[in-house]
This record gives sequence, C-alpha cells and structure tokens, in this order.
Amino acid sequence: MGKVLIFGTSLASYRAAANFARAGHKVVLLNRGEFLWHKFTQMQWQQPRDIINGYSKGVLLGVANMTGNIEVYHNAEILGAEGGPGNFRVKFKHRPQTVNEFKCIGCDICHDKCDVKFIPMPLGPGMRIIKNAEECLDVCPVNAIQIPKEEEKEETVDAVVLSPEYEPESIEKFGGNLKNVMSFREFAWLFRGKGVDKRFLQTQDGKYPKSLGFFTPAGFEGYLGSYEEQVIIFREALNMKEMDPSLDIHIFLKEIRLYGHNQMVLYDKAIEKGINVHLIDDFSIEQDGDGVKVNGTHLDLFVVMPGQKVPEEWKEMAERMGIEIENGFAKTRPFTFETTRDGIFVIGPFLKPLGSTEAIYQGTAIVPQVEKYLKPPQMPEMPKMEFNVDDFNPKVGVFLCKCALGDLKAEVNADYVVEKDFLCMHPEEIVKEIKENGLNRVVFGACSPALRGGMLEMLANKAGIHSSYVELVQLREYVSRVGGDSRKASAMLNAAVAKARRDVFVEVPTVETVKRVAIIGGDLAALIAADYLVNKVPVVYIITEDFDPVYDATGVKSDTLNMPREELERWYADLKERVLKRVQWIKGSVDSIEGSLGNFRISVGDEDIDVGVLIIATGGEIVEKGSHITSRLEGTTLHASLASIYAKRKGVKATYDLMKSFSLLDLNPPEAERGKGEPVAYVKPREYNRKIAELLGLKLDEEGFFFFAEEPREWVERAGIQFMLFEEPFGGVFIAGLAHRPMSIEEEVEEAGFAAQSATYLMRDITSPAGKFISVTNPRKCAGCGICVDACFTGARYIDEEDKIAKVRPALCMGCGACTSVCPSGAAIIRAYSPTGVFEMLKEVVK
Amino acid sequence: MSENELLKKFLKDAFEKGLIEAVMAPAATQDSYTYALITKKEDVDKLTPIAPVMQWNGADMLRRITKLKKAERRMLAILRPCETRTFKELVKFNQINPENIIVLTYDCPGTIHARNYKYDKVPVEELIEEIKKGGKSDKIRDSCKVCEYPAPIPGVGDIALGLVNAKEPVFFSLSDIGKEFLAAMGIQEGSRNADEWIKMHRERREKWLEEERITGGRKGIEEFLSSCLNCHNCKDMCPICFCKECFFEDHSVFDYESSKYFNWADDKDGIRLPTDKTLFHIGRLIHMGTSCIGCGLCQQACPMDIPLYRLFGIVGNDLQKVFDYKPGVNDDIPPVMDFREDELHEFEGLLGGEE
Amino acid sequence: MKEENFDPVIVGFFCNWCTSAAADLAGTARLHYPPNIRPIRVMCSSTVDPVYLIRALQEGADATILGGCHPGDCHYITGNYKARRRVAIVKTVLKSLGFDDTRVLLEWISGSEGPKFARVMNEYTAYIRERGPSDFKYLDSLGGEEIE
Repeated sequence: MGKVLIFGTSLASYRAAANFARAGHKVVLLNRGEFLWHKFTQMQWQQPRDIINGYSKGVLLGVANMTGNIEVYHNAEILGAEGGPGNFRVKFKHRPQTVNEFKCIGCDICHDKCDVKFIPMPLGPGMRIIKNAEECLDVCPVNAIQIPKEEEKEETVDAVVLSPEYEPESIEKFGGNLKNVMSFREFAWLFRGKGVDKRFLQTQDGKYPKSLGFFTPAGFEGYLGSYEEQVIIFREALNMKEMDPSLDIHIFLKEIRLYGHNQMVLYDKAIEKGINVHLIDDFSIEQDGDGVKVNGTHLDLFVVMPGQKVPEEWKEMAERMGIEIENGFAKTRPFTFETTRDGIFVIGPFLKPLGSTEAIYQGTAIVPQVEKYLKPPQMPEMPKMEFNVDDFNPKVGVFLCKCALGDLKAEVNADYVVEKDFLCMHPEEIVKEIKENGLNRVVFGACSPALRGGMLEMLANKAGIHSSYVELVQLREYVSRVGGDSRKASAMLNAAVAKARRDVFVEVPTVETVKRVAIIGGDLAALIAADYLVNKVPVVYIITEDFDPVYDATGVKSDTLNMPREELERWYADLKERVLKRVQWIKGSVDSIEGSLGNFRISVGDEDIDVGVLIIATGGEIVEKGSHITSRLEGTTLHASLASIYAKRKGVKATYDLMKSFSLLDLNPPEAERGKGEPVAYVKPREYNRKIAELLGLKLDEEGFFFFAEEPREWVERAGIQFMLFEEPFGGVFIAGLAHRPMSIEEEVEEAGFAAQSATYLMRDITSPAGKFISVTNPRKCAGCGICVDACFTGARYIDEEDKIAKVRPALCMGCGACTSVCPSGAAIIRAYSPTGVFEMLKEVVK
Repeated sequence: MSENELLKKFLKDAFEKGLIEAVMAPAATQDSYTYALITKKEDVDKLTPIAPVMQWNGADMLRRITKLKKAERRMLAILRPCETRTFKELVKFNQINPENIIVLTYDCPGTIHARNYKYDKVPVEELIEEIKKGGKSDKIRDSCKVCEYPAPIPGVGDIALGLVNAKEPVFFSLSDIGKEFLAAMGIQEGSRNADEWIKMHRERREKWLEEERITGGRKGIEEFLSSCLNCHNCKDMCPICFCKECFFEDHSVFDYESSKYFNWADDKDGIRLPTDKTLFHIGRLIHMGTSCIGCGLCQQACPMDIPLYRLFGIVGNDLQKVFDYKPGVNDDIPPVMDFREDELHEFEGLLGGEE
Repeated sequence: MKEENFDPVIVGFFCNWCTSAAADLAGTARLHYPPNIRPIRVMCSSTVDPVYLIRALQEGADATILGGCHPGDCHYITGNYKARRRVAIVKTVLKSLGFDDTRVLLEWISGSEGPKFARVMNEYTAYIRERGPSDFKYLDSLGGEEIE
C-alpha cells in the first residue's frame, strides 16, 4: 500500500484524503488550522449556510474510521521535501490540538475547570481550544487534552499532494470601506444557522433595508474566480425575493457567467421575479445617505462577492517544495495535476480558479494519477460476525450514559436497565453484561451517532447483537443539553424500548456483480478513463464506431492553452495507442442495454457484453464558426469556457459573451467588447445521446447533453450529491466529457478520472448502501400499482413483468423510505421502520 | 327502437363485421344487474347495455380481466362516464392494461341505489326519458345527482352515445380508435348539445359541496360516523382502492393492556371503547382521496346508510383542488406519483411559505 | 380552548441528514427549547407515512412536526418534495373536516441551522400552548371519549 501526504484541507483535499484511504493507501493529512474546518474552504466562504459543507468533513471522518488509513496533523506547516517519488522525506512542523477532536466526547467537563474557547459545530462534539492545557490534562475523562507543543517531524511518503485552502480577495476596491457595503460572507452570516427570516436582515445601523444589491467582479481586471460566485448570488437574490417580495433587489455584473446545465434558469427566474440585473461595463460606487449609490442606483445594503486571492504564502511554499508557479498558481504538466517536480501534485484552488464541483471531481481524479508512484493498495479485511437472531422473544437491555443523562431521572421499563458514567469508556463491561443477561435487543441512551453512537452500535455487534436490534436515543443532544426534563427522557427511552421489542432481523443483501467496465463512445474522455481503468479492472470495453479527433480547446493553464497543435496530436496519438493495446474495442453502436448497477447487458450487433459499470463518453461535434450557442441568452447551456479558449488560442476578437470562462484567461484577455467580435465555436451534442438516455432512463437537457450528478433542477451543477458518498448515487452509470457539457481537455481529465476511479470502487460485490434500512416488498400485499417506482429516486424499484409486483434492486436502494410512505397497501416497507414498530413507539413517545 | 336495442344492434353489427371478439356490459340478475362477458354474437341479447343500477364499477371488472395480461381478444366494454374515468385512472396505476379494449360510454341517466331497485324496479327507459328532455330523474343516487362529468369526455374512452336533447341517439368518437371504429361500422358521427345539461349538474354540485360538507372537526366526524360498523364495505366497493389488502386491516388495531382500559374508565367516569373506524376512514381519504372518481359506490355499499359520498366526494374534491388534478379526465399524473420543485409553499411553515 | 397548565406534547419526525443534524447542533450549542418536543429520527422526510402523523395526533400528541432538508438539498435528491406532497394531503384532509391543520407543521431546517431549529421549536410550542389541546387527541382511541 502506498503512502500519500496531503497538505491543506481544501474541498479537494477532504475528498482526496478520503479517496486515497478508501482505495487502500495511507494518508498523512496536514491540516493548517487548530481543527479540521478551522481554515475555511471555498464553500464555507461562499455558501456558509449550506449543510453540504458538513458532508466534506463527514465523508473524511467516515472513511478515516472505516479504514484507519488517515492520520491528521494540526497547525501544520510544510517545510520541504527531499528525495523523489516513492521516497519523499517531507519535513513539516505541527502543533497538536489542545483537545484531540477524534477523542473528545463533548462531555463538557473541561468547561468548568479549564479556560476553554468553545465553538459549536455540526457533526461532532464541537471544537474546543484550551488556553491552560498543561494545567488541566487530568480533567478529561478520555484523555483528549494535549499539550500544544510545536514540533518538527519528518514523514517518508511516496507522493505529495498540495491543496491549500481558498482565500477570498478583499472587497475594498468595490466600496468595501463604505457604510453598508459588506462581503457576501458577512451577508450570509446574518442568517447563518438561524434560517432566512426578515428579522435577521439588517443594515449596519440595524435597520431593515428596502433595497439590496449584489455584485461580483467577474470580468473586471484582476478578478480570479469561476462561475460559482454568480450562481450563488443569483440563488441568494432569489432567496431574498422569496423571503420578502417587496424588497428592491439589484444584481450588477459585467458579464453573465452561468454555464452548465440549467444555470440560465436562475437568470430567467430572477428576471421573472422582478430582480433587476444590470450588465455594466464600468463600476462606480459612492456613499448616498446611509446607503450607497452604485452606477446611479441607490441601495440600502450592497453585497459584494469577491473573487479569489493568491496568497503570498503560496509563493513561499512553492519555493520550499521546489515547484514552479505561474500567475500565482502552481504550474502543472499538460493534462495532469503533476507539478514540474516528479511526484508532487496540486489540486484545488492552488491549481486554478474553480468551482466547488470541479474541486470535488479533482479530489477523486487525483487518485489514478498518483497511483503510478504508489505500491499496490491493500484493503482491510472485514471480520465476520455471528449474530443471535430472535425476532420473537425480545429481551431488551437499556444502557444509560450519565454523561448524556445529566441530572435527569429516567424511568424505563425494560428487561435490564443500567446506568454508567461514560458508556464509551466501558466497552468490555457492556459486552459482558449483554451476554450475561442474555439480551437480544439493546437501547443506548447516549450521545449523537456522529459522536459515540456509531461506536456503541459496533459494541453491540461485538456482543452478537445485529444492528437491526440496536436503538440509539440521543439523550444528551436531544434532552439534557437543550433543557429537556425527566419526562421527556423517559418517554424517548420507553419509545425506543417499545420499538426494539418489535425490531426484526434485517439481513442486508449483497449483490454479485460483473467485474468489468464498458465505456460507450469515442470521446477523449473515453480514452482517458480507459487509460486509468486498464490497470485496475480485468476487462475494459470501449464501444464505439470510431474515436473523435482531438479538438482544439485544451485548457486554461498556460502550457495547454498555448500548446502547439502537433504536440497536442502527438499526446493524443500516444494515449490512443496505449489504450487500444489493452482494451477490447468493440466497433459498433449500442442496440440495447438491460439490467442495472453490477449487472448490465449491452447488445452491440450480434455481440452481448456483460459489465458491472458503464461510462458514457459519447462526445460531441465541435462546430467551428458556430453561431447559436455563444450568445448570452440563447439556449439554457452556455458553452463559454470552450468558446473563449478557442478565441484565445486562435487570437480572435471575441465578445464579452464569449468570455465567460475561467479567469486565468482574464490575466491576459483577448480584445473583447460587448456585442462585438465573432462567435467562434460550439459543441453540438450527438443524437446518439438520445438513444442511450432512453435505454438507461437518463435525462438530457434541452440541447441534448446528459445530466449527471445534478438533477435537472435549478440548483445546478449540484455539488451536494457529490458530497454524499463516492459512487453509489450514480447507479453505476457515469457521464464524462462532451456528452455532459462542453468543456476543455483539462476538465475532461477531471471528469474521466472521477468516472474511472468511482468505477473501480464498484468492482466488488455490492452490499446494499441502504444497510438495515433496505426496502422490501411484501408480495402478498403488493398490487403492482407502481407508485413506489415513481417515488424511488435511484431506480431501485421496478415492476416485475412476470409477477406484476414491485421488486427491489438492493444495490441501488439507499434506504430513504420514499416508497414506504407512498405505498397505499403497506406492501413496500423498510423493516427497520415498520409501521408496527413506529406505532408502538408513538404510543410511548407521547407520554 | 330503445337505446338498449340500438346498442345491441350496434354490438351485433360489430361482431358481424369482425371488429370485436368480446363484449363486457351489464346483464340483468334477479334483483339487480351485474357485469357479463360475452364472446358470441348470439349472446348479445342477454345484455342490458344501459342498466338502471350500478352494483359494481365496470372498470374494477376490467381490472380483474387484464391485471395479469392484456385482454387476449379485442373487446368492447360498455361503461358509464364515471366508470370510464375510473378506467383511465386505473390505467395510470398499472391496474388495467388498456390494450385491445375499446370503451363505449354514453350520456348517463344516473343509476338507482341498488337496494331501492331491489324493491322498486324502475325501468331504465324511465331514467333515459328524463335526460332526453335535458333533465334528470330524482330517483337516482345522491352522487349521480351531483355528478361532475355526466357526459362522455373527449379522450376518455373511445366511442360515445349522445342521448341528451337528442331526438335520435347519436354516436360520436372520443379517440382515434373510436373514429376508425365508427367509420368501419359505417356510422356517421353526430352531435348533440349537452352543455346546459352538464351545467345543471355542476351547479347542483357546487351547491352540494357548499352545503353538505362535514364540519366541526371531532364532533362532526364522530357524529357522522357514529353508526359505522367498521365493515369496510366502502373500501371493498371503491374501485380506486385497488390494494390486495388494505393497510388498515393490519394497522388500525389498537392493542392495550387491560389495566389501561380500566384506568382510563376510572379517570373519565366511563369511556367509549375505541373502534378503529375513524383512522380507517381518514386513512383511506389520505390514500385515495386525490384519485376519488366520485362514483359514489362507497355510499351505496354502506349497510348503515351513512352518506359517505359527502365524506369522500367533498374531501376528495378539496384534495384534488390542491393539486389541480382531475382524476380520469386527462393524462395528468396522479398527485401521489408526482411532485414539483416549486409548489405547495402554503403548506410549509406555520403561516405558509418560507418563513 | 386555552387551559391552565396545559403542557403539550409535540412529536417531531426529523430527517437524519438535515433536521436531526440541526437538533444535534442545537444540543452541542446548548440552545434550550421546551421539553415538549419529542424528536424521532427518520432517514428522510419522505420516510414519514402520512398515517404516522395522523396516528401521532390520535395517540396523544398535540401537534407534529416534519423536518426536512431545504428544497434542493435533500440527501435523497427529491425526498423533501415528496414529503411536502404528503403533508399537503394530510393538512388538506384535516382542514377539510374542520380540524386544526396547524397541528401538522412542515419545516425545512438544514444541518447547520441549529439556532433555527431551537427557534422553530420555541415558537411552535408557544403557538400550540396558546391554541390549547388538540381536538384530534384520542379521537376514537383509548383515553378518548367519555360516555354521556
């Protein structure tokens, strides 16, 4: 197994660390702050109200627990690296946290006895910084308090990934020091945690503003950023309008950078709801009474969403690590994340200005690129467990944690009730007591599952009690910490006992899958994905009549943007030759696809191919001198990135509308004026997409591009779903390259890498991601009406043609239970939430 | 020639021309009418295409025929407008395979309560006479009197027989299949004006929706259902309740330890013992209210003569208004199978909307 | 309807990913709200069968809350839209029969909105307290009807 050092905890790093660990490699994560999240990621700067922030950390912690492959150092600074790939000796200094966040159980005992700064945070105990740590080491029952002594350390690793966090530019240039001008972050902070409500919208004088302006400087000199700033201010403006339709809302933009599926819908909706969108060439701002006047419009409150800053420290870090930079960003080799020094990689905001979606793609796509320097991965063996299964003679034990219960007195009716000071500190005792008392159901009255709840469940497993017989009552966060009384504690515990009595054993099914991948289409992304996959998957098919020639839009990094055509073609020819030697190329096009994740059957002519995962890379036609796409308000998809790279490479005079691209270009933009210049190129989606979409039940946008990782909805290019898990939400079908949207080759590398790496995770027998919440059908009751099929968002339910009843594909079921609440017959059920159990629980909980 | 004779002739011709291989239509029994299936021209005379009683919902019968496989033979079904709408609704729920079925429907004279008919056999011709004049008999069931769609609707069913305000009945088509069928039969499509007649029904319905609503919350529903036997007949007869086994057969039972019964009785100076019927009715409203067709068979089925259509019809109407859904009159997806991103904000939060 | 010393019970079905996380955060941050709230963790707001809401009201709850993720943020993509339809059905049925439909509350509370969670619980409990015991409580259930 390989070992990778990751520096910084940007969005891309969270993801990358989790991916390396899951792929079976060791990770050393150098976190620059006192705790994970201390330094903000791009999402936290730009959308501080979103929960999906939390998932980035959640995913990382989940994988860290599951694999034991991640080691974190805090307050870290990277000092340098000697050696080369396979043998880097990385020097860094670090200072331990005063409270180890992995150990802390949030009992708050230290609050009384030490000088603690407490920062509440979702998913976990909250963060604590103790000023006098040396003096109160003994206070902590779990020994989580550490002396914050700085030390230097050296780690030997195979490769290094640099991914420092995003920092926003200051807003001074745009009136930042005037009264009632605030950065977007400050503005979003008004509502943070409290919800969108009129009560919280206030100017700096504490008044309710009648007019509100948003601005992001995309297109103005010195701006570094992506499209994301605009997506967010449009969304926020719409939120405000929904909260109070009488608000006078203005958005100021030099150009519209809303590309990607359906983002233009935000613009249309803004116009429809009466939000004023001003396209401005010059920006002027002055104080006007208590508010400001922006380009002649009075506003009570003005919100600026700045672009990205390139911190000085990046330069120093680059020097220490011996890598080159350009325009403040790391220089990389064409179409890779590898810097000018072998074995040192860069992802995230240090690579180029990007949106959160790209950052997440990069965090996965990095793995196959680094793996060439890594020893083969090792996956931890899961121990096999034996469980006592007895659905009919419940014997319920209740374990109460004093830390959770506090001063409350709980009256619980169960076969065995015991109270302990800290449950999590007495694992052996609990196992022993479960066995000795012959318990077959356990209720824990403890803390949040994000804390020790999960661990307690594992304890019960160890004692032979299956997870379907374990109930957790969050006594601490739901009762004692929020002013709950003994009556509430008792009611909740007795409800859990009542439910536990009705719990039945739920076996989580595992689906045997075909360990092969098929790539449909001959896009560049197909070749890139295949290039990664051939080393990991026994059989890789590419199904296409022919391969598309490499096209002339390469990327925003200078060496790809200015790459001579011959070099580009040579790179492409090498790639193609290398791939075709190892894959099975099936010439032809797909006639039919049957089955689902793990077991697809594809017919191509007379040939039938069985595969577990599909990657769709059907590509698109590049039409030069195109005319339809590049204008701002035609179509819902703007192909800006591609078109502006074309403009730049060809030295064409372009219009503003063409310039909706990543901002490295803006450092040296081609001459551009609004409405002048020529549209240069666009991507036309292939007709073939329609057929594939129909066969697989996928959705296409208006123009014929696939939706992927984003439902056709307003909150576009939805980062949220990508935070959830790794590969499961996609049902074994990944879209990459021009089939998805117009993109540069750099972006194709990211998407193809994401698809390939995610596909490898599915090259195993798949245990239902729903776990004990797996949905099942009672065949005796099912009338085959198909309401559940419509309710299922993953396509896990279907009507069996033979039996005319609904059946479940366990590999796809995520356990949300939407099917159960719509089924009128009670035939679709999640046995862990059966109506019988819930009804019993309700009887107790209302007491 | 009476309307029934006319239809029988139509059926015989269709058999002769080879346009159909089977017919499903009502046939008389001792005290009522039931649905019958025939496959031979000679058997047509056993049918009563327009019956004065609707003992079963015909769409429910078609469900039984096609639940497992599509109709094996080309079949013509004679259904009332409400049954035709049920047919369409059940197709959406995968309960009927519409392939190979041609539906003939007609301006509905209404039906008589099955029990009343048993003791007073009003001939159907009497009912039809009324509507020919643009009126309606007052012997028909309550739900028929306030029917929202008493006449065939284009796109729902295939062939229609117009009776209202028509000296002679007229055939006209409701779908392309119907059009072809009539052409093959050599029948000239006619027309009749039923607008006033439908308006009369709708006005009656509006008044009914206003006046007959069950109000008063707890007291209202308790009094309304006080004679309910919890026999579940209403559910059995409801064509939209297509479940094999009702959710509330299993889950409506309240089990308590006996001490609890006695303690409550002590505390309250005597209690009324729970009967499970209220959750059953409210639960059924939640499950099928959005698709309630308004056939009124629930009310006909009630042995205690509870005017159940006031419950299901009116609450169903409210529910359908919320989702702007009309069951069985077009191809809209039933509300329980669908959702939109931007809708129903009035149900969010305490006062509706995001805060 | 208002009664002296009326102490309502409010059953909350909170989705695992957003509203339960917000309740967690409220706990971590020690934001107090009335003990009348009885949280039940469910996987998704769409897990909650409308019958559960009705049943809770019937079994003795004075009100119920269904908490889910904000539209567009659902962990299961569209679960909250489906839940909204279910709630619309329940509330319409209740209102249509003359019951108090504000006894069912649908709220979107994201995982980072601990303070919003506490605020909603405070406000709703106060509202229900003001409104008095539910008309639906023990309807046709044990503990319900006195004989006349």
